[in-house]
Amino acid sequence: MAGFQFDPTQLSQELQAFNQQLAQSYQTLSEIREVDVWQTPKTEIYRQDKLRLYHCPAQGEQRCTTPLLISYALVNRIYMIDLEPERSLLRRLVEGGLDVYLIDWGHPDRADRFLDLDDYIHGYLNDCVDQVCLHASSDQLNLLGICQGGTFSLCYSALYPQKIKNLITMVTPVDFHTPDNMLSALARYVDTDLAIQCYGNLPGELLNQTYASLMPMALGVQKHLNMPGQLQSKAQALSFLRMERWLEDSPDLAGEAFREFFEQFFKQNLLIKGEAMIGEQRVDLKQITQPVLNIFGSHDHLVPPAASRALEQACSSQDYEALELGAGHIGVFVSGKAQTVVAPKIVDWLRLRSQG
Amino acid sequence: MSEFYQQMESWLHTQQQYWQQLASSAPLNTPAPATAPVAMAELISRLGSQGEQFRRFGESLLQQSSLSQPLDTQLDAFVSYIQQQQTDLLLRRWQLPEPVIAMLRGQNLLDSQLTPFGDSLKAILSTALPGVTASQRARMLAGAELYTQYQQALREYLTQANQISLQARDQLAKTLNTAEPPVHSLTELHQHWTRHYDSAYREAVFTDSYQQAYGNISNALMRLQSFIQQWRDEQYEQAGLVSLPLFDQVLKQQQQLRKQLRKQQQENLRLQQQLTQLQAAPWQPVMEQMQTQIDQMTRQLAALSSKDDA
Repeated sequence: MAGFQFDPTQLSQELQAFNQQLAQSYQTLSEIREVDVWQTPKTEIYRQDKLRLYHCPAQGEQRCTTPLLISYALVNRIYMIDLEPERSLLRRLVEGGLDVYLIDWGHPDRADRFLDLDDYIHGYLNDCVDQVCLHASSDQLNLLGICQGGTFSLCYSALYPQKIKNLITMVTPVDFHTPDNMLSALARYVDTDLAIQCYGNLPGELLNQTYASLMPMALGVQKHLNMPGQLQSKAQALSFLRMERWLEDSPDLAGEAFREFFEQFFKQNLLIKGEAMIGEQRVDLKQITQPVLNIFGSHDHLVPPAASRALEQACSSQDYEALELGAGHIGVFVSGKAQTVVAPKIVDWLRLRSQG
Repeated sequence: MSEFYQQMESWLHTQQQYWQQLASSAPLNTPAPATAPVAMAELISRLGSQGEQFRRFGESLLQQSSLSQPLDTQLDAFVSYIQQQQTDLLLRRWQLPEPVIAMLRGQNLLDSQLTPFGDSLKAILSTALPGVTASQRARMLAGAELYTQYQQALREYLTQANQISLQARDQLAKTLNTAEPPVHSLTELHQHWTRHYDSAYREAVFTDSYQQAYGNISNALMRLQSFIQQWRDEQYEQAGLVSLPLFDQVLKQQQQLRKQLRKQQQENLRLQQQLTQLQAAPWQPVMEQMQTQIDQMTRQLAALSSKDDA
């Protein structure tokens, strides 16, 4: 094999360098006492069951008059958009003059096993919208949904269009059956009812394993091998550990909500067909006539770009705009582009449409 | 050659010093700080074990190089080393939870080595056993059947995983045959492998056979866990304790009540808002009604006058 030539001296140097990095990693880890997240100041303005609603007041002189509510997925936690000062989408939005409100869904336990999508959308999300409007003395708000939270936002905007002024979806699946959707392919033969019977709530750890299994080598052996290189300095290590902390902080999914979401959206693709049911109401995406900004990553392996792009045809907005970023599912929020492209885009787009 | 051996010796000596230093240094022996929310101990353990594997393989490669083994053999060794790690990860992913293993073992459905449940034991269970009731025997048989299904599903899944590895190996060999400049480092080799493996995996995920194998192992594992849970629940109920299904029934009722309450509250809020509007402008509805009547009468008059004109 012409292209495979190990030189013993070079190889021994490589191993030595690896060991040095490994030793330095231990040293760095020993110096870290705390891995802090949630960087932007926030105040809790409402709570219901395990849900918390936070307010991050706008900074700067040019403020947007309409409040922005961010709804994250039930999987993982919303502080992914506020991991560290340099990689905080939230901070950039607040600095851009947006009054931001965040829903933290909390960690469901066995008592929440029968919470369903009706409870999440007609209940929790609707209550949060009302609370934000009350707090901000506004009749309407701007809604930003991320991933599954984006799907929730679409359902909500279709069901309560009068309450939403502008809608932003980020890495949001709309068509769950595009040919490149790995999660739907894996889910095809998995028995959802059995999963709920077995676990009650779906363990967050199980979902994390499933996500990691979509790129088994890159997120398995290779990730571990790259670790020493990412733990050389305290700053580097903190950055790495914050992300690890977020990845591991994965709430369980309320059993019934998971079953409904999995069956209706993943397995039957009912959202795009206009047949998804939230409680007793059918979700018709054509009811969405508000301005829509749809942001997604071209390298997203969890929500393929085509799954998000489908929104353009599915809704009735005459003011639809897509922003495709050369990033993955998380990179859309934490990469350099997230700070220099995504945040300014959201701020400008909203400011233009929120006055009056 | 003697120069090479000197280099090797020197390298191994440095290596040994590193590992001695690591073994005795504070970070390894100090528990993770209590304030660190990330499972630091686990991270350190992962870091250590992966480093150890990488180091061992590198050393073995150096020894092979010194013996002038063909590079093709080195590639096979690499694939075997990395595949072993991948298989370990997969086995961990699909292993039975410890309580399930303990219970199966307690019911003699497993031997201490966790070897497959044999047909011979099934045959024994099919006949009457002293001290074992018919229902107990039926339960044990059902458990044995589920365990067999789980093992079969695991075997099929691992077969799929092996096929992915083989495909990745072929692709890697092709890349290495044509790579220009040649691959010199273990890190580069890992990177090529990762790219080929994940690409082969991605292809496999969209095949029906992989999806079935994935579904089968997921479902078989859950079926076995549910079976053990049901068994446990029956024992709880016999002992007069609350079982999980009973607890769930109460939770379900509570949830339905909460839902009713929420809907009632939303309805109250809606009525309250209407009331507030009425109080703010009490004559508004009457005015609107009168306006409607006036509009109707105007239309009727217009219609009558147009008839008269005609």
